[in-house]
Amino acid sequence: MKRLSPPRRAPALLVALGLAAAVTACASVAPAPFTEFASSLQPLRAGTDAQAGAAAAASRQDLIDKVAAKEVSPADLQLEFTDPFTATYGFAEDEPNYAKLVRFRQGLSALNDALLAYAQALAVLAGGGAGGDILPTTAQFDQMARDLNANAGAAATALGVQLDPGRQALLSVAAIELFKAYIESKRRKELAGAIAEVQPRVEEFSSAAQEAVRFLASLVETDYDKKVLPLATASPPDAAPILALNDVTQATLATLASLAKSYAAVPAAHRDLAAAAANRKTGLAGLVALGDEATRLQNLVTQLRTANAPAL
Amino acid sequence: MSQEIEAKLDVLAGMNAALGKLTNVQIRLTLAGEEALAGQMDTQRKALLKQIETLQGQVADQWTVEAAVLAEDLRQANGKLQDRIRNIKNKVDVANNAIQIVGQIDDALAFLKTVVAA
Repeated sequence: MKRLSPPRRAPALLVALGLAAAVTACASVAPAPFTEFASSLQPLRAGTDAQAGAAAAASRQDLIDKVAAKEVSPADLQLEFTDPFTATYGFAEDEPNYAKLVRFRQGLSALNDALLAYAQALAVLAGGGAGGDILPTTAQFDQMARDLNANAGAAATALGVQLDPGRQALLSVAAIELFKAYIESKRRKELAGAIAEVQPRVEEFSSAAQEAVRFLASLVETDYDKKVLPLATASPPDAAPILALNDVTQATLATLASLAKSYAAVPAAHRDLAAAAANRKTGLAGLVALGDEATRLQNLVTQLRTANAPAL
Repeated sequence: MSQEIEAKLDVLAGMNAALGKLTNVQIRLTLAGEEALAGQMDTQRKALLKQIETLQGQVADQWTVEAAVLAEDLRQANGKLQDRIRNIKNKVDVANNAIQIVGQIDDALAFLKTVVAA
């Protein structure tokens, strides 16, 4: 660490520390967008799981119907145990789609869970976790300042300044303010880094989830054509069950369309988080350069100087 | 995800459209009393249904395998994020020991340099 020349640089250092404190005040991360991002993923997970569950149930019923119609042999339904904990439809020439759709549903659920867990961790890092902010509260920082004041000599040594005892208290406060600014900037960098790193995966997630929803729509369409034939050729003709099938099918497709649209919006929402974090990061790294915050910064620095003036 | 799945979904869309048309023709033939023709249509329709279901089974399997890889990537990303959170918490925990906060002043001053230099 470079030591500053004591003690004539001490006032300049304290002004700089004041600037750092102002940076802290201007630059704290707003957790709301991050928590909203995480909570917006919840209905997507629930929605796709319900649709995948319905598809698996329809496929199961289709298998039951095929066995009843003797299109599939019951022998094909016998499970084969190849490994101690693995059971497969190994006796069937082709594994029933029902088994594939059960795995598909589990995979879709796991994929949604993985993004949700990431989004929730992002919210925690941003300070919006269920357990509260990971950074200390103002009161805790104040306590830290008081504790440090008891060791003000150590703080002064670390900062490379020599102050008389009357100024040591101010230095303790300034050291804590500097630490607050530092730790907040650290959080911002970690957020920006994580978001940038994961953005490609989020885009892949969006594509995969849209494919899954499109696949579910294809199952719904096939299922419709299977069901409409006996209804439309029934005697005497009856429109009611056909219209009921139509209503359910159209509502299901509308839900799937909405899910696809929501998944398509996920990458842009994630990018928005990156943009927000990056803007504030710029503010922390080069606050003076930010024209729109210059006036506010100046006021905060002035206020800080004024507050510290009696001690100086 | 792979373009192969996209391509298969495109094919499935086309096959479903064809299935709808075949189904409609079969319904009309049945209602018109053309049982023989409706029976022929039913054979073709069932053959198409079988192909559709085979392809749907392939897509389900392929998607599940590829999604598992992506889910693992996301889990790893989450793991790294947890490391980032732990890293910050550790710094705060260390700082909570007021005497040791001075040990972090090096990093803090490096940060301050960037602020002042900006």
